[in-house]
Amino acid sequence: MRAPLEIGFDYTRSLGPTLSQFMTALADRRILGARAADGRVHAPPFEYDPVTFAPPADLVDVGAEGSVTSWSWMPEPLEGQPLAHPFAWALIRLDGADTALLHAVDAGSPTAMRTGMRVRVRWAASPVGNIRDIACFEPYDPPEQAGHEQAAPEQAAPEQAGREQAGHEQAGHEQAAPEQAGREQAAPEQAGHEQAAPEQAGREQAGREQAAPEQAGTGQAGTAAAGATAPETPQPVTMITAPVRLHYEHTASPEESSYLRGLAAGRLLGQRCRVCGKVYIPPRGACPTDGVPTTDEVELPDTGTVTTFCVVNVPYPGQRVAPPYVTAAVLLDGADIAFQHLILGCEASEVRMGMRVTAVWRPRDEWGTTPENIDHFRPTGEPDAPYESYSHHL
Amino acid sequence: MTDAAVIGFAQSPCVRRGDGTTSGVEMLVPIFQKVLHSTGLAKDDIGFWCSGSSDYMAGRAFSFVQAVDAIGAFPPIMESHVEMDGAWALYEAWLKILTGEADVALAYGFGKSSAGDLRRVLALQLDPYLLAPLWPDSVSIAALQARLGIEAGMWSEKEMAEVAARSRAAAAGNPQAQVSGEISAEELLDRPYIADPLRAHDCAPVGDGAAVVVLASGERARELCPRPAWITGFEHRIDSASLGARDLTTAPSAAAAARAAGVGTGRAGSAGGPGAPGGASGVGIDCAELHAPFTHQEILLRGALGLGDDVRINPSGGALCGNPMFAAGLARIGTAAREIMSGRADRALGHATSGPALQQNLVCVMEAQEGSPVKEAL
Repeated sequence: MRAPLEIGFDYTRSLGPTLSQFMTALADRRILGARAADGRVHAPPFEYDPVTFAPPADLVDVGAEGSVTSWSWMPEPLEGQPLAHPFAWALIRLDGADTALLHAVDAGSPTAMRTGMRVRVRWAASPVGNIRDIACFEPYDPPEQAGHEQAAPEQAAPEQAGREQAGHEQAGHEQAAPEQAGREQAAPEQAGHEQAAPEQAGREQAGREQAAPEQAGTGQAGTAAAGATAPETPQPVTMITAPVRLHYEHTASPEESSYLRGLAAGRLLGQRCRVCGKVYIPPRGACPTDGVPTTDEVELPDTGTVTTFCVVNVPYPGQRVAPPYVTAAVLLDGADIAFQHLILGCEASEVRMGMRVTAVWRPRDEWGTTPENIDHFRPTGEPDAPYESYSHHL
Repeated sequence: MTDAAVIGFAQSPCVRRGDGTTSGVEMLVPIFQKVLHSTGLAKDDIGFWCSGSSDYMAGRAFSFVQAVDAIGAFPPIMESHVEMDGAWALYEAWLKILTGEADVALAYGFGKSSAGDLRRVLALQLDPYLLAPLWPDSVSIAALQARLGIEAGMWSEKEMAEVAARSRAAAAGNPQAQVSGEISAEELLDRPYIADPLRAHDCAPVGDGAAVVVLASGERARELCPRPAWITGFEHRIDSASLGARDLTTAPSAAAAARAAGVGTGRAGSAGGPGAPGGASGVGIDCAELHAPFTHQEILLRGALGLGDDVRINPSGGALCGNPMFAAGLARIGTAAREIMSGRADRALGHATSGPALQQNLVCVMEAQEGSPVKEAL
């Protein structure tokens, strides 16, 4: 049996002093590099000099334009990548830097790509202090030979306009529109995954948290970088949120599949090891004692003994039963390994080791290939099992 | 210091999509039985077990724990795990032998790449601040490296296709291979790019598999194996995680590992020349199994390790014909060792890589006769 398995987690990562400055600058639409002991400028910056292992003394501004040093073509972009339509991955040496930055180039076609070509940053509409503030790069033909010298003022103009009037800024960057469209195209693709919404919410939230103070101090940000004379420094970005969404097809082993299909028919199917004779439920595929495949199927009754238990007193979101209640290890009659389930139908304080219990199944029309077909176990009222009968399963 | 040798190797077939679970148990049980049978060992003879696998392959935490079911871990065993290719598990097992904590040790690696989208999963091995948030996929990153070498004149698309054609032909004799057969480089070059400048044949196939290698200390190795593959050098090194700061046309970590492992010094006890500046020099290596998941990386590695035209490269077909994640590097060492154990080589090199664009490299040099003691680790 196979079923989709969706994994999602929003990693929150603290940045440390160097990357905090780098990300803070990105939120201000600037890119910082680090000068190494050998004089080379690394952009993005290193946290420790690759030769001397010293942290960078100070970070320096590099250009938002640069040259492609290598590229590859991505004809079918994958979920999460910077663009949803075909693009080039490229190593880009920004003006003023000696190392390259990896990012996407929105070139339209591989025929538009060549090593050495000039590209410039297309900024995200609302930078928050994350590498994705660089939405992507776009091919850029310098208007004249002296393009390098003009790079700084040219960037500065729309940048400041953007800070003061977000609306104008977007109008100025015509390319921002297709990029936005690209992201929105990605959304339906992600919509199938339940985690997509929280992911985006998380990102926006992180953005707000970081962007709000950042923008408040935006007026000083430029001067703070230019000279160290700014009266106030902007609120630094100290964390990033990195959402991870992965999609798997989980495979149940043949033994597990047999067990799950049995449950759908109201049966409890375990397996016996041919070497040691022990019965495992759920079956494991290999005997954990002997390391041999378990092949002999054994049907077990839905009665058993509580070997050990705990009283749950702590409430948590999504809890099915109001505390206090008991979760217990139930050793089915004939099994050699206990499995965990709920004990209901009596006061939590009445549950004890050795108590005899029986499964309470949900209505048959609710059954599926799941252990949830058993709603809980309840006491049978039989005399307790003697300690010796289960002591070796504790 | 104790000597150690590889005395056993087994590998599951490399398949596009196996029937088994991400726990690896279904792939591991048969190869454990096979390797124990071939060495005449019982489970209880193994003093130390070490696995290499990844939770990101399985999509769940502590996924390696369930694999221990395949061992039969009662009474309790001495066991460890690395979230790395099994080649690095073998390194840990080797240290257990050298320190005298075990006289027989077993390393295994397994991966069910088919469970997820490998190209995306591998993005999570990248710098988590500057790279992983962009989700650059493993094939695209290799393509950036391939173009750098092509434009620097270090290899060509034709030479890359020739690597693929030679590997597939060699794999025809390897029943565990996922891809094999005769095809000309010209035919391969007629096919479209999947990540310009890479074509499908330039990339290792995605698939599931497992491998196991058994090590023994000097005396035990001689008892258990007629022709052990004595480990004379075993080293691993790593390059920067900053992809854009590396010169991707070279693999300094591979060259450094090879130098440290004595690749350039010739057979133990012989008067081999020193390694060439900037790279190792494969003096006296008969056969090398290189973990090159992309065709250009084989060419790059041959240069970095100093392997000349006289060295047989990847007689198994290599990773281009079967690259089960977290097992393929270990399988390279096992395959190289088998060349020695079978008498087809006197001195062989097994290589494993990890990380983007050959960031991390491990080199294991093995010889037929017991030579000088293991090179002192720094």
